Amino acid sequence: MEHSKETLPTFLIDGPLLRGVAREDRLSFLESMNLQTYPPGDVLFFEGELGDELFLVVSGEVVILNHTEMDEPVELTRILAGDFFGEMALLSPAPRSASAIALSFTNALSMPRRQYLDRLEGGDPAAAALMHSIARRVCQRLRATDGRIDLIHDALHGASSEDLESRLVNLTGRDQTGPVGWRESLLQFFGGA
Amino acid sequence: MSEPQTTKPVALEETSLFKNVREDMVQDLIDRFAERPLTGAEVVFKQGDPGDFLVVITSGQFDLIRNGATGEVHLAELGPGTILGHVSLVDGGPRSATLRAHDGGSVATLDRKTFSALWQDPSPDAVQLQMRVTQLVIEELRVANRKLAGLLDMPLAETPEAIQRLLGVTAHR
Repeated sequence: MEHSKETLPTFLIDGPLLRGVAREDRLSFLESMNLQTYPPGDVLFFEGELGDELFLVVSGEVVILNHTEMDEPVELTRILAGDFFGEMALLSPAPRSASAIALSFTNALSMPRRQYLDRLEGGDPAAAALMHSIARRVCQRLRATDGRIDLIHDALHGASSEDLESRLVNLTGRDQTGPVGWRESLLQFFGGA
Repeated sequence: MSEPQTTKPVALEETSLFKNVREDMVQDLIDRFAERPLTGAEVVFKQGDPGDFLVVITSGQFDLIRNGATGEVHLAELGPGTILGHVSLVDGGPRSATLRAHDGGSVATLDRKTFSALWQDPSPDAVQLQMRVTQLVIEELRVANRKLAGLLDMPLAETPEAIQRLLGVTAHR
């Protein structure tokens, strides 16, 4: 779909994503992205797919879902206007680790890896700034995930099979019975970052 | 941490940090590193310290250790080719673990000032190095996410030993 700077909201152009980049470079980068509208329920990508685009939400809302061994998909997070997702596959191709589905009528800008790399290798300052933003975000998530793993590790350290359940109850603050119970409660405790 | 590990010493230029950097530019980047020989069970960096240099292991074997509420946790045994410390350089946060040599060895280090200059450098080869560092943290996040997801999918009947295996840690009393 055609779009120009008139259709790009100010919070996207001036947002933290491309901080430190000259306005004309920010505009050039955003205007080269592909704008698409997704009706509610539309799948932007499926878990396991080999997509490599970055998505930037202009308006609407996208939910990121993960299919675990549990029957129901788990909601990991929601992406609102101004935020981006799919950034890991953009820089390091791998199957999508979760699905992305539009919750309401959603306008999103996207850019595939090849186009991004062409801009980066062509010396586009906006492409470099985006990579730095992604690197910082991934570092934050890595520290948060390591922290969660440590927390579980510390909570379960040295536990025998008998007191494992009570430690899990302490960890989650809930009385749980059965395997599904503790999974659910751990997911609630740690999930949704 | 990352990367194909061997027990044999590796040359800095052969590590994955310089993947996609043009051959004639690699030397220029390598010249910015300092070689640091180690003696005995020397600590390269300590958990909680400010992350003020990047480390590439070039020879020897090392332990990565984290001190938690339940004592010292051995996270990994690392060898030549491993790149460490890039997370702290990117986000400015403290060291999340301690790196200690088994018995001597050597590391190549890149100080924060030089790293920051490279991180902001728009030249194509510096950008390739920035991309490699970003890909390393992405790969590490994927591994951590899989660990956490695996942990959350564990059936209750599993033993703590199995949880430790899943976490990739060996707990020391």
